[in-house]
Amino acid sequence: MKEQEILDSCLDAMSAGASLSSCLEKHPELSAESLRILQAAAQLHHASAQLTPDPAFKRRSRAKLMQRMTASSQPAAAAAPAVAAGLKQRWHDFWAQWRLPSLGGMQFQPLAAVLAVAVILALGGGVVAAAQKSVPGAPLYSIKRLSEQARTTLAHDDIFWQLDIAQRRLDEALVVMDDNTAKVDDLLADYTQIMSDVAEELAQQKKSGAVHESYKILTIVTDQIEQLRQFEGVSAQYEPALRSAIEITSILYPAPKSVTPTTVVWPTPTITMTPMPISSPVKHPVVSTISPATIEPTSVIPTEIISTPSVPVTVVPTPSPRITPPTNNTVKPTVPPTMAPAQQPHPTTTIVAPVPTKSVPVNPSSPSSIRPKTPSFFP
Amino acid sequence: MATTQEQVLISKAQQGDAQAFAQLYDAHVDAIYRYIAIRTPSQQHAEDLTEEVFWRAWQAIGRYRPERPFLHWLYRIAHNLLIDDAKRDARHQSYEGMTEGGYTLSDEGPTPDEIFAQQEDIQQLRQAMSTLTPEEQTVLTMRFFDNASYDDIAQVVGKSSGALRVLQHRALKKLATKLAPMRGAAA
Repeated sequence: MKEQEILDSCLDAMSAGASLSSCLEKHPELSAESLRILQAAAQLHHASAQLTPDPAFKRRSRAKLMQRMTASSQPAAAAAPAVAAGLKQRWHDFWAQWRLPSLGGMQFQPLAAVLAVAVILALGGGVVAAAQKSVPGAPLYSIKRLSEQARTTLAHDDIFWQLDIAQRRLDEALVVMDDNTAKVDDLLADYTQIMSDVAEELAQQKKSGAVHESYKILTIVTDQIEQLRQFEGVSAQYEPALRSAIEITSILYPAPKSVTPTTVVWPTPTITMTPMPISSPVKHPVVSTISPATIEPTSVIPTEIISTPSVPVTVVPTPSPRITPPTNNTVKPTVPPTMAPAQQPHPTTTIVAPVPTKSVPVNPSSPSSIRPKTPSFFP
Repeated sequence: MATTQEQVLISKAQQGDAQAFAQLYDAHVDAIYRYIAIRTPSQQHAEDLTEEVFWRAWQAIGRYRPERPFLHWLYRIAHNLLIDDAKRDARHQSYEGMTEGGYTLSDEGPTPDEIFAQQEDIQQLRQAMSTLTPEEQTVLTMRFFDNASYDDIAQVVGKSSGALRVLQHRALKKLATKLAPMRGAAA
């Protein structure tokens, strides 16, 4: 067994309550480094038994909690989901009993649907619709939350619905931001909780397979991150809310492992010039250029011919300086393959420009997304 | 998954039964306190945060899903709270004054000398823990305080089981590195 495997098995055993000495008896060959790690784990495990809350604190805290729970109205988050949880269970029982068929992937959820319809009928569709625009403190706000919960029973696993509710909390927080910071805190705390649930759901989905429409989710969450920035310095709940949103993005698209930067050495591009036989002198200086921007790896760049007719040139048969390719037909890129008109040694010089074929060899293994730093072909 | 009896209490609490929630508090307050106390510099602060975890849990109990252990759901709340707390102030950095506002350890049996030695150990451990990231702290406390599986921890910190194993190893290595000189100084 390898050292790492021994260490892992010892740690697993110790987390389950085994002692350090029992591990060392089995594996006396462990290195000093592993021993120190196991000692740290043992100290941690030992500490858990010593960290016991003061009984007086427990009594005091319990009483205080009871007082707060009794004094506060039942949390909005608790009321409807409690009904939902009961209905959910009953729905599963019902489903198990009757095995209603599914139609095109859509399953009937009668009890939840009954609840939603009941809420809407009881309150009136218009009231529920009007309530959707309400904000905390408004008379219809509790109806809004109740209708949300009713719908949640129908779509409790629907991530987009969860994100929609989160967006509502965000919108509400923006509305009340100037008047009531405490409410903003509450709304952002709700937002954080919803996003944590979404993150958990996504993590589960990712574990069991692919996450559907991850790009769409990412777009929504990215927008929300932008909106959240407005609460920076306004609410103590800003950071947890932001973090909960970012957590979702990191679940969807985990950051790649860090790569040690390496220097990519690109081969010096070479230009192979194939001179063509001169059939006749040209009347204008011909300048062949290569635009660096056009150079693509693995491509053979055709030479662009630029004529400058404004420069008068008298044709003189001989002698004529010309760009003569080296004997090995290779020109280093530091040597400009062209001559600008201003550089011409004599205005009457005829420049016979061969029609070169330039090929820029590149490293075939190089990723196409990384372009070599193109050397300057021009002064 | 929550036990049947616990599930009954949770269902009642979700319907607004404060007494049922208080029973859940009784069942889990020790674990939550331990989880927090090893990561906070003073007893008072750990108590405040423990109280806050249960208050937040009460407020959010409607969102609890029975598919996961209730304690781990509480851990997640505590995890988020500790991260907020660490960012809100720099109390976690000021371990010098810890002895004055320090913890009283379980006083069942040990002599004053033993209590002092325990306090020293805990303080060293707490100090070393403070150098770890919140995720590393959570992995270690859930593993070695509650023998939680990697799958359970994954639900709290949102990382894969494989990544958590690596994280645990790295965290223990860091912890060991921090504790070694402390042990040497104490000896």
